[in-house]
Amino acid sequence: MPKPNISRESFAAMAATTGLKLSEAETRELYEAYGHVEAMVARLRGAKRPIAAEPAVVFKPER
Amino acid sequence: MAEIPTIAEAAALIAARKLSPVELTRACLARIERLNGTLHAFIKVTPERALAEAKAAEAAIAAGGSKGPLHGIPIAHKDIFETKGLATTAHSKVLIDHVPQADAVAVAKLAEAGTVMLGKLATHEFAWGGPSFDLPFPPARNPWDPQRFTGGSSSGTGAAVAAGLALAGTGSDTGGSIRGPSHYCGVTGIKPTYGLVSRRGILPLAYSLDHAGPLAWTVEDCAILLQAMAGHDAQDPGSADVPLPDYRAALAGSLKGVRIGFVRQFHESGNPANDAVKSALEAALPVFRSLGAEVRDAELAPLADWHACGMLIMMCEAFTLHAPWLRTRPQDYGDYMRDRLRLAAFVSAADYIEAQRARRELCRQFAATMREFDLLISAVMPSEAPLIEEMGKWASFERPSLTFPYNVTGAPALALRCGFTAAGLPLGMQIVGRPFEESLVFRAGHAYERATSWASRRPALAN
Repeated sequence: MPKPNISRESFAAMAATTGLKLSEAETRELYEAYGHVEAMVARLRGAKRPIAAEPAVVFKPER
Repeated sequence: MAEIPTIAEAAALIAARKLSPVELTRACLARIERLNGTLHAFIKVTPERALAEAKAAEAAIAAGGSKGPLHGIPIAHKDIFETKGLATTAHSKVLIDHVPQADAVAVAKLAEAGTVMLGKLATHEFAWGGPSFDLPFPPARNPWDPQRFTGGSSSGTGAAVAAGLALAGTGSDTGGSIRGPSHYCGVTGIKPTYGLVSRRGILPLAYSLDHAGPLAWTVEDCAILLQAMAGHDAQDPGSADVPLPDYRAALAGSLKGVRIGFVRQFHESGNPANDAVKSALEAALPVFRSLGAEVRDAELAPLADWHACGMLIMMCEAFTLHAPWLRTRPQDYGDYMRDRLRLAAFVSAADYIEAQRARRELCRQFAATMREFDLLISAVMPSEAPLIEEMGKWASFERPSLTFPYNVTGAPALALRCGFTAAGLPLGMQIVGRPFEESLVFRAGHAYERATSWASRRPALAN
């Protein structure tokens, strides 16, 4: 499992914004797994798309 | 009846008055009675209803009112497909008392085509959380070796079809949930183009990635089933309004000159496959060449890019729809589903949109590749079915999925047998087409299936 880059304190602060009730043990387990999320996010953030590159899901007023 | 017929075989026998739908349904019910205690493929069996539907089908056919090849054919539905008056639980305590007021569109269409419903099939919890041992029902087991994983999330469907408990079943596929069980259980399943089958009445996992399709024994059976399931639904915002070809008629065409790309990079470097899988895939290539196709390697974006894109989208959409229950009833989820959803709460809106921007880019690259090729051959899983106890909570995060790319593109992807390990466990491959070109995908799969003998093998316990 990839080790998370974020600190445990910063992760706990993020957890507080989710609206989930998490015990310390649960927060610890999610922290350990969060490295997977960081790795996926880094792949996408690193792609340097043009500012006008649109998402695949776009608003269509007729639907 | 000793042999388990395909749908095409059963339909021909029924039409010739050599097989009764009641006899066929009784045979399936007898196999369920004998094997479901081991396989846990069904979480609810409806024998009275099945026999009543079979008798009605038999009477209608005898009176000259056949509805076609699915009339009188016993099938079952994954328990995220809503069934009127019959609990649809998503294999979860969260929905244990959920009794829908209407059938899912796909269920209704299959019923209109004359199928007989045997009951509801096991799934991973809400099509993501599994295999789990802390849910209201046990996880399905692989008929080739009940100690092994069926794949998921259409786990009960894969097991039921492989063991002949049903001639076919429904599945859904957000990241590989039709194709994984097809590979591990040695059956055939198609994830059709996004929007070809209505999602209305199917409990969602991720709105922009969810697909529905059939699993059956052969490619021809899948073509018959998809014909009944597909069609525009104005009440599904993702539904495609496209003409439907005759999929079964298209099976007869030739593969001469068809350009097939082999996506070797995915299983060699993206998610390295074991030798058995690699050998089975390599051995399929000369078969396609002998059928007249041109086969060469194809290059797509790195597998990890596809995986990151699909997984982040799936996580965010799944968290969004589960958040109200997750905040108020977390104890009603199994451990795997609850923690996977909780992790999804940590993906930001900006990263979700970044994933959707990546999706458009990946789809554009895929379309460019598909101007060079008519079809792709791609691995389904990197190995044969693992032991079910080895499937950890974060397994699907640890190695990039070989199936997610075609959920991201929404392109049709058929999974079918292409070999067996030395120990007799099945292996599969994907045949992928351009959006809405299911006919060519089926034609290639059917031609391959007829040129090989893999479909003649059933799990020993089914005999």
